[in-house]
Amino acid sequence: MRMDGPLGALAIPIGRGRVTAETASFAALVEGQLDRAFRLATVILGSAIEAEDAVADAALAAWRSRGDLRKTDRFEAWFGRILVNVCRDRLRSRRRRPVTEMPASEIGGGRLTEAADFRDGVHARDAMSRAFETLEPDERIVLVLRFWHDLTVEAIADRVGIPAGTVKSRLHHATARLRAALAAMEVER
Amino acid sequence: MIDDATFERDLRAMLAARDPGPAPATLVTIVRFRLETDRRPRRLASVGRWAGTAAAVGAVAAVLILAVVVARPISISPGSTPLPTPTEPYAIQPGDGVVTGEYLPVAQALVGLIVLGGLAVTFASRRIRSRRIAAALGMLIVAFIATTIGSSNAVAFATGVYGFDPGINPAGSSTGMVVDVEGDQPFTLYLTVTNTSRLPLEILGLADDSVRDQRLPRLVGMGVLSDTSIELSSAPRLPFRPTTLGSGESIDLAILAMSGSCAVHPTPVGGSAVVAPTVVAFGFREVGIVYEQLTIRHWASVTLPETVEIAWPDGPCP
Repeated sequence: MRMDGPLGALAIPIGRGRVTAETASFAALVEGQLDRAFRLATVILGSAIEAEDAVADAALAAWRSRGDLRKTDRFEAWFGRILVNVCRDRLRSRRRRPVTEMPASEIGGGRLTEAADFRDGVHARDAMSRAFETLEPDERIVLVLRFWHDLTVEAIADRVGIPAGTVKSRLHHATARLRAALAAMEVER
Repeated sequence: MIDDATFERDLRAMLAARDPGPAPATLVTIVRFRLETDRRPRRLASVGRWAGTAAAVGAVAAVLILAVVVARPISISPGSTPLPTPTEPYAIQPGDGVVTGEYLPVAQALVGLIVLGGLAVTFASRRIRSRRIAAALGMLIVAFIATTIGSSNAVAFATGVYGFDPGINPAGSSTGMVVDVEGDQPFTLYLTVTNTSRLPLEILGLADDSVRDQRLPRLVGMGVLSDTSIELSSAPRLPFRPTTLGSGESIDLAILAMSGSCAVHPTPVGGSAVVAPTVVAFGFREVGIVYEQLTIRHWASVTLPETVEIAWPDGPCP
């Protein structure tokens, strides 16, 4: 069977699965978001490997609740909200299962190599990254959406599913905690 | 202390450094594979989610209702079902007010299984720890209710009337009241039963005692005393009908009993009625009452304030 569209290459059944028109159509929507989703998940989670799993989980969760999506043009925001929820769950479960901390300089190594000239900047980012790891999952998410994704407060509220006032409050507390963590590191040094 | 502009610049730089760039090609394959091998029937999953949520809500509601009911004080008063107006003298006959037949709580068992299944689905499918804990607690509550609901005893003698007729109180005897009957003679037991639980219940009747050995005393019929302010032996009886008792409410019963074929008359000695040396007392101290509460039928053993004793030959009974 030959399928048209982005999943055409998957005309041959994989495992027990079988490609249907609905699957192909949905997969096309997801694939359009993969790069953005992967980058967002990595920035939130701080691990590319975990981000891959999170995106795959989010895609599956979206597939299972696809009946909730009323308009296709809202797919990006809808899928983004699912992804943020998956990342939040992973951060929370990570707190229950502590993992060995990875130095921030080893994350996204290629880009850091490009920035090798800015030694002070690297040091500052390393401290900031370690301070960032101490934040609560919800605080991390709003900071990433605001300062990496450059979303407005209203857009963050829509993405996370909370009131705009709560977003402002979380941003305020997150930056305060981040500053406090940085100050504590300065004292330790 | 760094200024706001530097702080934001460092934060943005740190976040930008965490950006890995485009997704690896393997991610597309992984996502495709996950989507295409997902075999979970969507409608069934949706039904499972709804059932699980409904079961969890039901369990929480049940706990809240029970908590409210348990906190309510109990005050003892007459039953809420009005007594019928006496029309003509009524004599209790064997079989009156007796509950017979088998009872299988099939519908209740089904509801319990559905709730338990819903909670199990919730427990298995939820990834949020608090919901899994809530579902586990719900399952424990359902299991607890299932194992205890049929064994609760919400009917008891608390206050009111108790006695039997005919009876004598032999002087010098430590055995208390003795029923003044011979073999296979009827006598009447008077008893007020009270709903001692915090939920309403419906008295359905007397537990069927007909299967008991005919040589032993048996309870064979039940009526209602309409007026306990007069001598009980002459108080009018009314036919029993299922009666609803709220928490603390009570009903005055007249229970027809048979003494059993082995009963003997307590022999008067020296002017007082006492049990002769060749006779022993055979007693019983529980009356089986059938009631229904929360759609579950219960068999309660109401403990009498004193043992009902019948004279019995001190030797083999024919």
